[in-house]
Amino acid sequence: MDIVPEIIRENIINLINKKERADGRALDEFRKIFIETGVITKAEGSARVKLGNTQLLVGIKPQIGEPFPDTPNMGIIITNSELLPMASPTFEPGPPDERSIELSRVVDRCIRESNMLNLEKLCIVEGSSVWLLFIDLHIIDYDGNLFDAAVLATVAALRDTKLPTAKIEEDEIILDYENPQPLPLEDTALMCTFAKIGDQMILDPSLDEEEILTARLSIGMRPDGTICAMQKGGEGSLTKDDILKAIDITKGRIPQLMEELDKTIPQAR
Amino acid sequence: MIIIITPDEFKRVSQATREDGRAPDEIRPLKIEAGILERADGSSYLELGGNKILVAVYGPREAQIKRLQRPDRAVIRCRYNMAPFSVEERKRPGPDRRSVEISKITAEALRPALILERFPRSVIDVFIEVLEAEGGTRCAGITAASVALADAGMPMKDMVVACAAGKVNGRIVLDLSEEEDKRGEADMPVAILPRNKEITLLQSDGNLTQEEFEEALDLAIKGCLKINKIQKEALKKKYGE
Amino acid sequence: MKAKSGDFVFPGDSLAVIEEFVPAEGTYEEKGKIKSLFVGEVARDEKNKRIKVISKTETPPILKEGAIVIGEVIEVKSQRALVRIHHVKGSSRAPVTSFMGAVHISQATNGYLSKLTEAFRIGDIIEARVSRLVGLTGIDLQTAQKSLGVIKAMCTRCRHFMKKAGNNEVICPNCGNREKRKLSTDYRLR
Repeated sequence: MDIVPEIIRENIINLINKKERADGRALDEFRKIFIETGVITKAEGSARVKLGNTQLLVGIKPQIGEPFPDTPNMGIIITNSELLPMASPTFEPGPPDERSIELSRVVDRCIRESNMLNLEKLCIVEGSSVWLLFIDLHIIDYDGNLFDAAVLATVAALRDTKLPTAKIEEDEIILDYENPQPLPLEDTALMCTFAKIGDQMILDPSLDEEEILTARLSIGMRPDGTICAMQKGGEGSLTKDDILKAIDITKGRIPQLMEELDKTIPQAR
Repeated sequence: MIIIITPDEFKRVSQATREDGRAPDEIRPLKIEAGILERADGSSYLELGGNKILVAVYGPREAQIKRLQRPDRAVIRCRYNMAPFSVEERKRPGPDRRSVEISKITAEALRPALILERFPRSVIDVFIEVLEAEGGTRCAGITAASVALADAGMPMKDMVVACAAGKVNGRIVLDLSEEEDKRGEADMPVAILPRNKEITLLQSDGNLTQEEFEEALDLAIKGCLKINKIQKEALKKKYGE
Repeated sequence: MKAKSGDFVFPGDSLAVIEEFVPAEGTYEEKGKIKSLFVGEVARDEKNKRIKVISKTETPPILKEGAIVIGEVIEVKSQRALVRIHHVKGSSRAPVTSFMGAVHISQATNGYLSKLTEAFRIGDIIEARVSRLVGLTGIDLQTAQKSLGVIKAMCTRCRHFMKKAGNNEVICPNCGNREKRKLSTDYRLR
């Protein structure tokens, strides 16, 4: 049994019932955000994000491969994450566990369903050759709320990515590395995650808060306020009011995340 | 003694430089930082040329796997891992035969510096993440791991420091780059305890005569001593004053 | 080679010879020389001729007598309660070497206790002081002080954590069961 949550639970709940948090934040406030791009020279795109003390790297590597039969004219994104044992004493080495797979899939959904990336423009030869983008999330320091940090880092890395231009000459694909082009990004989506503790929905839970939450809600949203992905987690339940309140806070916070992102890496036009 | 540089001498020097402009006994630009992760008990970050390496240390902590426990001392365990985006062609995540071997010899290279008898039944985990690779990652990993162990407050008799020497274009050179490693005749990673210069890791891959081996070993040790200074500077920067 | 107080040293640095000084904490002796084990600062005690190194980095939390630990009661025998040690108070790191301790019935409270189960039950989370170390792994704990004892009691009937109901009594909010404990003044559920 992990007794940490039991030792800290009452203190955190008492604070939150008074609308306070151990680190002094308001209930709807993010921790300090730091974004850096182009950190891995050998990756076509990369970013490092710190959200408080949570820290991760995203690297993007392209390959040319076959499209899926049902989408012969679309590129493919493959999202994978590693919760490295260096990031937390509770992370074990080995193949991705369910937490890691959930993270990959939620990030993937937020990117995919927002249509921020025009996958049709990643098609080289319909039915035979498309770009495969491997998005690898490397979690190096875990202090709560991986979802928001991961989506932010992934979007930053996508903005940083440049692909060689692919031309077809006499049925052969020629890659021009001299004139790399940015990805066909047409929109953005970012994520806000909430923890339900007591009767409150609190934004960007720290590790201590995550350990005692009853339910978790992640909302992926575009700047126009449309919701592109959601994920409820945790063993407890949420009311409809909890969810609507979280959506309202998300609407207010997406512009802040956008500003942080644009400040570091503006969208290429 | 007065050295007169003749045109001939010049020629010799210019021949002696390598593709990236380094002298035979020159290491790539090196940067080390200590204590950069929040959760880990000790950590470090190292850049050597195009290599970027992150190391975290956890423990001593209870060995969850009972058969790992030793009644008289702690056990050191290493995990060397390459990020999928660390190399030109994306690497499949997870261990392969190469990383398993490197993990084993890294643990053995670090072991002689550590006083493990104080922590019976415990395990010390050293996680080496290669974020970007450009030749010489195992040596860079050992050098960084030693800084992370010091940062974790592990009792140690000395630091451990590693550097490779090898043979490229018929010449013995220090700290081979990825390109030199690929084209060179031999690569020889060496780790030492810098105070008594005892060797805690030695591998060699390629052909060397005994004379060449001796020259390479002396050069590697020279490189280690230079790197050791930078290890200490990193710790002093973090903890001095 | 002679280190002065305040010198910044690295593992393996020579500090003095054993003819002059006695090696104290943070040092070891090798071939007649006293050397540093840590990245730290030298402290010479001229009066007692002791030399030590104060580590500048956080070192593994080896238990010392007097340390306060937080643990979980995993078994209550007639004379001793076995405690799995999870934390050493004041350190964020996992405990080292010492993972199990025990509270003897005479060390649980200030007064007389007829049965140890009136102080602890399985699943309770307690704070205790290390009263004695036997070798590297034997740890005697005591909880007599007011600030020590159970900080969260687990109901023996339904396994819920219980609320404080009196100085040495708790009540289960789930099933109404009342039980006795040696409570800490820092008891969490009120």
